[in-house]
Amino acid sequence: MKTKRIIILGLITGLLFLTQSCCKPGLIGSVNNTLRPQETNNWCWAATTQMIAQNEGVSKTQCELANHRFGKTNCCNDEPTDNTCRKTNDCNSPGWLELDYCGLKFSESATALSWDELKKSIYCSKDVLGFAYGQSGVVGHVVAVKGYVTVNGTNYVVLNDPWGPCVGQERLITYEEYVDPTGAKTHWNTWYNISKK
Amino acid sequence: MKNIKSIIAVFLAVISTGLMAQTTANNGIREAAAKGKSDLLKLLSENKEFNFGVSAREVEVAQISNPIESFSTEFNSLLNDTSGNIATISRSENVYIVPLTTENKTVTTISVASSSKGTKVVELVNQQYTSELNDLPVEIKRANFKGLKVINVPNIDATLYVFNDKCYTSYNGRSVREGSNILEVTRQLQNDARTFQAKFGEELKKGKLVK
Repeated sequence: MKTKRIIILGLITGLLFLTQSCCKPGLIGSVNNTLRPQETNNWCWAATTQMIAQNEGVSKTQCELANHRFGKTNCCNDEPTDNTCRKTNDCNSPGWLELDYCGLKFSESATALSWDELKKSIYCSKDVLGFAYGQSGVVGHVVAVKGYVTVNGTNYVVLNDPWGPCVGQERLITYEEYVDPTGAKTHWNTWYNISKK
Repeated sequence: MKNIKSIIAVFLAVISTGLMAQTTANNGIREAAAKGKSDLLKLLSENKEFNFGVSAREVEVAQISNPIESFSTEFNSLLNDTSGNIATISRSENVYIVPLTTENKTVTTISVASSSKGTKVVELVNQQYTSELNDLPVEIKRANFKGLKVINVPNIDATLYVFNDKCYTSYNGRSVREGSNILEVTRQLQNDARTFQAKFGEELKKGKLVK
């Protein structure tokens, strides 16, 4: 009886492994991911963490993440000088992704994923990725990567960009721009292979 | 007399070579933008799963307008600037924002990078540029953005549009609809840059931050 169970479990695991490794991404792929605009000028890290976490079924608000990061309790207060979604200027500071705090495990890479890796992450694993870029000595920016598409031979990456504050935007950059951003900017980090702990 | 003729001939040759190089570069940017427009049109026509805030029909009928050169301010230069003119401490990023327009309305933008290696599309659709270009005064739109420059100021996230020595920006409660004195805007940006540096300068030396 025990042996039978082990065999069945083995078969299921093998089947799952085969399904995953045989997954062939199409010319277009995307993950259904709600755009979350950043709620202060400096909270792209909180908004992108929120978008990645929601894809894993974890619900966190940006101000909860800010309270955690800055060791404060007032980050969910609205900014009194503004009638948009903005939270208090007292917590309006830059940061970094807080995936660990959201109970997520992940891999990260200082170099860009290959086109095949990126496609598989989105199409097969249904991951929303994090992508940070910037230039040395300057505060950078982080966005959520939710899709990809090849059009007329050019590879594009689809972003849920939390900028601007309380607005956000869905936009497209070329895969080349993801790998090596123009000007003095460089690829800083990609977060991928994300799942609950 | 002969010498003067030779000098004039060389002078004219240099000017015409410069103009030809500029025209060639401009054509390259327009060609890249046309490829971007074609890609965007195909994407919007064949796929409904993305929301870029623009329709295939709008893109199809839009014209490629004059490229707007993008500059980035040297943050450290801004901290110590005495010129009072942000344009003089900003460097070209070799990126051009190309508006797609219909009757003075920008429907979307294509960003094109130009370097010695060639000219290529880097971004399709930027809703911030689209919205702000539409809010600029009508004389800038009537000129099809010719002579307009965009300057991005890092760390304090200001986007400035400079046209005929006037600055248009939505930074810190201002409006892109009204031109401001560039010296006055530079002063404000310098003060804010110094505040930023005092608050986050040390933290930035320790590691990367994003905003």
